[in-house]
Amino acid sequence: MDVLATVTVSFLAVLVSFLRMAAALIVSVLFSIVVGTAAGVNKSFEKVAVPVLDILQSIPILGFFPVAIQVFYAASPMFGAELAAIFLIFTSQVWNITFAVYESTRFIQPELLDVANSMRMSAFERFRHIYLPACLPRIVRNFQPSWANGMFFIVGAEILSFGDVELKLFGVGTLVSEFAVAGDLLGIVTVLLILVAATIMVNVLLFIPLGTMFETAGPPSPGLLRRFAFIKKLAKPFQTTLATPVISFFEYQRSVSGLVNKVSVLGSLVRNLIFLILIGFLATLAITRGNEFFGSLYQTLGRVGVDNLLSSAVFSFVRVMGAVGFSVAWSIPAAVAIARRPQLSTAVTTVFQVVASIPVTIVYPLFAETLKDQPELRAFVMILAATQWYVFFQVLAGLKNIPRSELEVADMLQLKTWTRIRMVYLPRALPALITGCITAAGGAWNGLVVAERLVLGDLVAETNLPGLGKLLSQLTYAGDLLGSVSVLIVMSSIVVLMNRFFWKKLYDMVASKLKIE
Amino acid sequence: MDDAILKVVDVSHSYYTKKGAVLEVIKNMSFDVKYGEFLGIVGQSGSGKTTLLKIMAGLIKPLSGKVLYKGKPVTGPTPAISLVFQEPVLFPWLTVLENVVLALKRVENISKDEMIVKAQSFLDMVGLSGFENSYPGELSGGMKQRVVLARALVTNPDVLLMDEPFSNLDPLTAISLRREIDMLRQHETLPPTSVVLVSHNVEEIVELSDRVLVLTSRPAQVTGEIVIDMAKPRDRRTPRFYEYVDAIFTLMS
Ligand SMILES: Nc1ncnc2c1ncn2[C@@H]1O[C@H](COP(=O)(O)OP(=O)(O)O)[C@@H](O)[C@H]1O
Ligand SMILES: [Mg+2]
Repeated sequence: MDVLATVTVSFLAVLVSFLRMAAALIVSVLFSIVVGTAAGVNKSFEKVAVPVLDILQSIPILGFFPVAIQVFYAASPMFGAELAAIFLIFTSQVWNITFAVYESTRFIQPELLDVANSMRMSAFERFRHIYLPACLPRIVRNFQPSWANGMFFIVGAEILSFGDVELKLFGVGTLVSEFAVAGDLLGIVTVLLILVAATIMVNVLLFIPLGTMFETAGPPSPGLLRRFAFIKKLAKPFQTTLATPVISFFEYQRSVSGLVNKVSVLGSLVRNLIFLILIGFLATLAITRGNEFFGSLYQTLGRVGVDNLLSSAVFSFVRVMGAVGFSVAWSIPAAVAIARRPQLSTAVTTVFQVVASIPVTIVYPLFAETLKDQPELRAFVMILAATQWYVFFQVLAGLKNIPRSELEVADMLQLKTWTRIRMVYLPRALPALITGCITAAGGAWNGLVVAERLVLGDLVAETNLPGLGKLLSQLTYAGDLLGSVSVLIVMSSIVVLMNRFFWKKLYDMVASKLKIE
Repeated sequence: MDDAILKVVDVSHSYYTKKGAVLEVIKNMSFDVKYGEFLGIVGQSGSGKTTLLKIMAGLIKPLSGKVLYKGKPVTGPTPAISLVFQEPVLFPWLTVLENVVLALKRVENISKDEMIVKAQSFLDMVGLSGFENSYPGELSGGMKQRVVLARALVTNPDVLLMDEPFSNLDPLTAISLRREIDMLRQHETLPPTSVVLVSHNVEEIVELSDRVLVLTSRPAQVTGEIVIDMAKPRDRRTPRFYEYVDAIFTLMS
C-alpha cells in the first residue's frame, strides 16, 4: 500500500470505529434514561434493577459474546455483525450512565416532587421538566469515562468470535491487527496518530465543554416562592447546576461505587450465581436445543477443572492487586503535588483524561516486538491502563475537597510540607483513595480479559502463567459457553467478596480511625 | 518609639466573584493595635471583618497597603500573631492534645516531650484537663473553641486575633468563655500582649474591649473610635454599659 492509501484507510477505520462508539453511546443514553429513571421512580423495579445492574457491570465484555452472536448475528447475518459490535461496545459504556441516571432521579428533592404533585403535572411533564433535567448533568459527565471504557474494549467488539462463528468488522481494531500481522510498522503508526488526533478532538470539542457546561452559578436559592421559578429553571436543562467537582472519572467512580454499595454481599453472590447460570442455561438450551444440556453441565467442571479455576484466580488476583498497588503508589504523590495548583491540576486532568481514552490495546502492536518476550509485563501494563486513572482522579478529587478552613488552619500553623501531607492531606485523601481502589479493581478484573490474553485478530498475545481472563478468553473464543459461565461466576464472586470483605472493611476501619463517617 | 505592636497601613482588598465582578471589601484602612490593649472591632455581617483579620494574620496578602508587626511587614503567618477562626476548625483524626501540639511543630529547638508538656499546660489553662486524649468529635462547641484557643496561645503569640469566637456557642457557654478570656487577660505574665476581637455583636465588644473601632458596611472603613473606660469584669446591666452600646450603634447606622 502506498502512503496515501494507508492514510485514507486508517482515517476511514477511525471514523467507522468512532461512529460505532457514538451509536453505542446514544443507545446507552437512551437505555439509561429509560431504565435508570424507571428504577429511580418505581420502588419495585428498583429492587430488581439495581442488583441486576450490579451483576451486568461486573461481567467483562467477553461474557456478552454469546448473547451478541446468538441474538444479533443469528437474527440477521447481514446487519447482525454490526449490531453485535455496537451491542458489545454498549455493554462497556452503559452501566455507569444508567446508575448515574438512577441516582439523580432517585434523590430528587422531595419538595420538588410535592410541587409537581400540587401542579398536577402529567407523567410526561414530570419526565420532561423534572427527571430529565435532573439526570442530564451526570449523564453528560459520564460520557468521557464511558467512551474511554468502550475504546479499551473496541478490539474485542470489532473482532468477535464464538466457536465457529467469527466476525471481523472494519475498524481501528481490525486494521491495526492486520498491520501488525503484516509487520507494517508505518501502518500501525498512521492509525495511531489519526486515532490520537481524533481522540483529542472529541475530548476538546465535545466532552470537556459538555462536562463544564453545568458548572455555572451556585445552588438554586431556597424559599417557597422560588420553587416555581426553580422548576422553570430546571425545564431548561442546561441551566441546572451541580456543586460537585467536574472530573468525569470521578463521576464514573461515583456511579460504580454507588452501585456496589447498594447491594448486600450474600444477596449479590446468590443472585450472581442464579443469574449467570440462568443465562448460561437459556443460551445453552438455545444452542444445543436441549439435547446435551445436562450432560454438558456435568462435564463442564471436569473439563475446565476446579484446580485450574483456582490457580487462575490466584494469579489474576495477584495481577489485579499489583496494578491497584502500583496505581496507589504513583497517584498519591502526583495528586498531592498538583492538588493545590488549580491551573496545573486542570491541565493535568485534561491531559490524563485524553490519555486515558487512547486504548492500550491499539497502542500495543507498536510495542509488540519489544514486549514479545515479556508477556507478564504486557499484561501488567494493560491492567494498569484499566486501573490507574480511577485511583488518581479519585485521590485528586479527595484532595480538592479538603475544606478550605482546614487548609487555612494548616497555613496559619505554618505546617511544613511533610507534616501537612501526613496530618491533613493523607487523612482527607484516604477514604477517597479506597473508593477509587474499589472501582479500579473492578475495572482491572474486567480488563483482565484483554490484558491476560489479547486477541487482535490473528495476533494473539497471552500470559504464560494462568489467569481467569486468559481462561475466559480461551473458552469464549472456543465457543465453550458453560465453561465461560463458570469462569464468570468465579470472577464476579471474587469481585463481590473483595468489595465486601476487604475494601468495605478497609474503608470502615479507616473511617473509624479518622473519625469520619 | 511607637506604642503600636501591630499597624495596619492603608490596606485595601477586593475579591473577584465567580461572575468576574470585583467585590471591594476593605478600603484604605489604617489603624494601630497598641501594646497591651484589648481592641474591639465591630461591623455588620459581610462587612469584611474576617478578611481584615486574615490580612492581619498574614493569611491573605492585601491588594494594597501593608501590615507592620513591631515595625516589620507581615508577609505570611507567624507564631507571633495567632488567629482564632470563626468556626472552631480542628482535625477530627487527631486527639485534642495532638491538635494543640500541631501548632508547636514550627517552633525550633523544642523536643517532642516539651511540646506535649507545653500543650498540656495550655489545655489545663483553658479548663480542658482530662480531655487530652478525646477526639474533637466528642467535644461540645464550647470545648472545641477552648481547644482552638489553647492552640492559638501555645506558641506564646504577642497578638491574638479572634474572629467572632462566641458566635457559634450557646449563650451560657459564651458567657463562661468570655469570662475566661477576661481572666486570662488578668495574668500579667501570660501571653498575648494584645488582643483584637472582631464581632458584629456590640454588647460582647463593649464587655471585653479597652477600645473599639467601628466599621462601615462593605467596603469596610473605620468610621469611629470609642475608648471604653470601665473596670472589668463589666456588668451588662449598668446604664454606663448601655451608653457605650448606644454610642456604637449610633456610629454604625
Ligand atoms: N474568598 C472569597 N471570594 C470571594 N468573595 C469573598 C471571599 N471571602 C469573602 N468574600 C466576600 O467578601 C465579603 C466580606 O466577607 P467577610 O470578610 O467574611 O465579612 P465578615 O467577616 O464581616 O462577615 C462578603 O460579601 C463575602 O461574601
Ligand atoms: Mg466573618
